[in-house]
Amino acid sequence: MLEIILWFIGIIIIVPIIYLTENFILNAIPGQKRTYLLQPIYRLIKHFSKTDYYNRPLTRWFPVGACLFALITLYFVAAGENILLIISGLTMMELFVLVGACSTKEPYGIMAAQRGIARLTVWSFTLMTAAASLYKVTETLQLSRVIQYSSENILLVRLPLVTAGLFTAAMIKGNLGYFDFGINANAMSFLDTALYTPYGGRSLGVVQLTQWIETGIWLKLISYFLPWKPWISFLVSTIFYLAAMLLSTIVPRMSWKKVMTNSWIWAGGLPAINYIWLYML
Amino acid sequence: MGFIVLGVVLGPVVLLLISFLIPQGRASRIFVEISAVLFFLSAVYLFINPASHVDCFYLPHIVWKLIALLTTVFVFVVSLLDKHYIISVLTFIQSITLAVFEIFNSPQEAVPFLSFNYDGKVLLLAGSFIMAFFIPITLIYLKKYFSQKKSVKIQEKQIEAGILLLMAAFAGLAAANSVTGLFLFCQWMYIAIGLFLRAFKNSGRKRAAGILIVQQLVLTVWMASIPFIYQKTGSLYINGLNAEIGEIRVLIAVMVFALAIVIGCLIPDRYIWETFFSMPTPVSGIAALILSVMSPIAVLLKFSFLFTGLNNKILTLMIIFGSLVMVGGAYYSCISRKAMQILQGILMSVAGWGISTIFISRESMFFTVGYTAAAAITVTFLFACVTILEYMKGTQDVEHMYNLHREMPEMTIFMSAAMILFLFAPFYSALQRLLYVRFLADNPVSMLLTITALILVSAVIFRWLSVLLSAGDKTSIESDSYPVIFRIILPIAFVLVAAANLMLGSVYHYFQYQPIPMGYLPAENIEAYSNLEGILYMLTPGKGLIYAGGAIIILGACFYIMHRLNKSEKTADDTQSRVFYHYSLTAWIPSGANPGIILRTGWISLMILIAGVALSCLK
Repeated sequence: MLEIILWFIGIIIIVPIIYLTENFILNAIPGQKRTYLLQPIYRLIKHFSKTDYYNRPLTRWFPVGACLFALITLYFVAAGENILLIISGLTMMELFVLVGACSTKEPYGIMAAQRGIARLTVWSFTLMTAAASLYKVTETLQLSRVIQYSSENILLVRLPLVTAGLFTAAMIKGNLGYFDFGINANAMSFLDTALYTPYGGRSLGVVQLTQWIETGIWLKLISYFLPWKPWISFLVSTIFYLAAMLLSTIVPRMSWKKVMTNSWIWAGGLPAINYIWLYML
Repeated sequence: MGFIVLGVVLGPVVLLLISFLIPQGRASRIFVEISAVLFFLSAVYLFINPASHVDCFYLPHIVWKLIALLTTVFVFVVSLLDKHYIISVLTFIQSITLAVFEIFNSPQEAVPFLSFNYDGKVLLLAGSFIMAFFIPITLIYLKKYFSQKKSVKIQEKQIEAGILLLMAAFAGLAAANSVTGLFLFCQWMYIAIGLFLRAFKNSGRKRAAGILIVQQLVLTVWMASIPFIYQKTGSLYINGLNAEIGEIRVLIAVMVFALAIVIGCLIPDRYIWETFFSMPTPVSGIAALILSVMSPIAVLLKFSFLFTGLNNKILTLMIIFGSLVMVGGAYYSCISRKAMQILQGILMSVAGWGISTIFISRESMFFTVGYTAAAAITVTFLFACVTILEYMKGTQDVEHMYNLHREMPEMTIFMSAAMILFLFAPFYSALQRLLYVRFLADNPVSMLLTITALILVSAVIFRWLSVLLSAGDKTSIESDSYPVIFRIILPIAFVLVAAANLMLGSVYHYFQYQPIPMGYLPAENIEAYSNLEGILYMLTPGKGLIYAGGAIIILGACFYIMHRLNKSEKTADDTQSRVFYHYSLTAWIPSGANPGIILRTGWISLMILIAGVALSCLK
C-alpha cells in the first residue's frame, strides 16, 4: 500500500516538474518565448485565486468530475490494477471534459468537443488494442502481473508497436507535434486549446490539475511495457515525453483532419499491426 | 407449466383473434396492453419455475401441421392479392412442399413441440419486458400520430395485430424444438412486420419488397431442406441434427445462419435498414428490437451445438460477419442525426456482437444471452425516451435536444444514466470475460472490428450526452402535454434497466446452476469467470463497486454543494443563443473514402465466401 501511495504522490509531483523542465529548456533556447521559470506553477496558483467566468453549477461541476476520475485512474494505474478499469476511468474523465466543453454556448468549446470526441475514438482504440495485445502475450490484464512478466521476458520485444502506439496516444492527449488537435494551431500549453474555453478561475485550475494527472497516468501506463525496474521505466517514458514536448515547439501545425489521419495511422495502425503480428508469429 | 408454454406462444394469437371483436379505440389499446402485461407475467412465471417435460401439455401434431400449412397459404393469398407475384410463387412452392412432405412422409413432430431452455427463458423475459414496457408508450404515441390523419382505424388495427403476432412469433422462435416450427414462427414474424409495413404506406414500403422477397426465398430454401433433414436424421427435432449427419451439417448450419441474418435483416447496409424500418419511432424500435436482436440470437442459440463443432474456416467467416454487422451499426449510428437511426445502429451493433460471440464456446453463449438481454432492455428505454420527446417536441433530431436538462431534468438524468450504463456494460461485466474466451485467442480480425465498433458506439453516446447536458436556447415544454403515464412508467422502467445492467454478472451465476441439455458442451471455466474480481460485480463488494459507488457519491455531493452555493446567481448564458451546431463524427474521413461502400463490399464478399465454403464441403 505504501508503494502505491508513493507512486501516487510521486506521479503528481513529477508531472509538473516535466512542465517546469520544458519551460526551463525553452527559455534557454534562442528564439523561443521567454517566461518565468515557475510559470506553470504560478499560473495554477493564479487560477485558484480567481473566480469562475461562468457561474453555472453544471459547468463548474464537470472539471471536478474529470479531476475525480483522473485521481481514481491514477490510483488504479499506480496500483497496477486491471487495464480495463483504467480505460473506463480515462473514458469517464474524458466524458466530463467533453460534456463540460459543451455545457455553455461557447462555439469554439463545442467545436473542440466535437474534435475531442473524434480524438477519443483514436486513443480508446489504441488502449483497447493494447489491452487485447497485452492479454494475448501475458494472459492477464492486471498490470501488477504484467510487471512480473516484463521483468522475466522482455515485453517490449513482443509489443514494440503497441508501446509506440501508446506513446503516440499520450502525444495525442497532450496535443503534441503532429498530433495537435488545438484550434489555434499554436498551442503552447493546454490553456490555448478551445476545449477549455468555458472555464475560468478555479475551474480552469482544476482542469490544469486534471491534465497533469492524466499525463502522469499515460506515462506510468507506458512504463509497464518497458523492461527495466518500475521507476527507471517511468523515468525513461518521462524523458521521452519531455523530448516530444520540446520537439513539438518546432514541428509545424496541421489542419485537424490531417492530424486525425496521422493519429489513426500512428496510434491506431501501429497497435493493430502488432496485434495481428502476434498471431503470425 | 405446459399450458403456460403453450399460452405464451399461442395466447397472443388467440388474443389477436379476440381483438377483432373489440371496436377500435381506447378499449382495443387497453386490450393490447393487458395482453403485453400477461405475456410478461407468463415469461416471469416460466423463468421462475424449473422446466420439466413431464408436466407439459402437448397439442396433437396435426394441429401444428395445419397451422403451418394455413399460415403459408395465408401468406400466399395475401401476396397474390397484393400483386407480389414473386412472393406468391415462393409461398406456393412452400405450401406444396409442406403438403407433399406431410402426405408422403407424415413425419412425427418434435415432442415437445415447444419448450424453453434456460437461455430461451432469459431472452423471453427480456423480450416480454420490452413489449410490456414499450407498448403503452407506442400506443399513446400512435394515438397522437393517427389523430392528424384520416381513416386510420384499419391502420391502428394492423399495428395492434402486428404487435400481438410479433409477441407470438418471438416466443415461438425462442421455444420451437422442430425445424417446421422454426419455419412457422419465421412466417409469423414475416406477417407481423408485413402488417407494420402495410400500416405505414410510403415509398419505403415498395423498396422493402425486395427484402421481403429475399426473406421468403430463404424460407423456401429452408422449407425445401426439411425433407432432406428428415431423411438424414429420421426426425424433425432440432436437437436431432446433433446426430451423425456428415458434411451436410455445414450446409444446415449455414442455412440457419442465413435464416437468422435475413429474417432479422442483419445486413450492415444502411439502405436496407432504412428501407425496412421506415416506420414511426416506436414501431420501428419495437420491430428492430424483437426482429433484429432478440429473435436471431434466440434462433442461433437453439442451433449452437451445430456451430460449435463446425469447420473452422466457416466459423471464422461467420464471426467476422457478426463483427462487420457490429461495425456497420456503429458506423451508421455515427453518421446519423436522428435519434431513431442512431439507436437502430446501436441495436445492430448489439446484435452483431451477439452473432460474433455466440459460436465460440459455452461461456461466450452465456455472455451473449446476458449482454443481449441487458443491452436490448437499455436501448428499449432509450427508444421510449426518444418516443416521448418526439411526442412532446415533435422532433427526434439529436441536435434539438439542447437545454433538455432544464426543460425535462428527470428525462435527461434517466437518458444519461442509461447511456452510461449501456456504454460501460462491456467493461464491468462482459469484455473481461470476452477476452478470456477463445474469441480473442482465435479471431484477431474480429477482435479489431469489435474494438472499432465499441469505440464508435462510445463516440456516438458521448456526442449525445454532450448535447443532452449542454446549454441551449430556451424553449418551453408545456407540462400539461406530458402524459401522467409517462411520468409513472419512466422511473419504474429506469430502475429495472439499471438492475438489468448492474446485475448482468448474476446471469452467469444463473447459468452456472442450470442443467446442461443433451448434446451441449459444458462450460469450461465458468467458475473462474464467475469469480473474477476487479470488475463491477454486483452482489459482491469488489473494487469495481467501491470505485463506481464512491465516485457517484462524491460527484453527487460536489454537485449539491455547487448548486447550493450558486442557487441565487443568474447564469451568464441565459440570454445568448447557440451559434454553432454539431457536425458529423466522421467529418475527418477523406472525401475519396466511402466506408459505406467498403462495408457493402465486405458483407457481400463474406456472404459469397460463406456460401462457397459451405458448398465446397459437399464434395
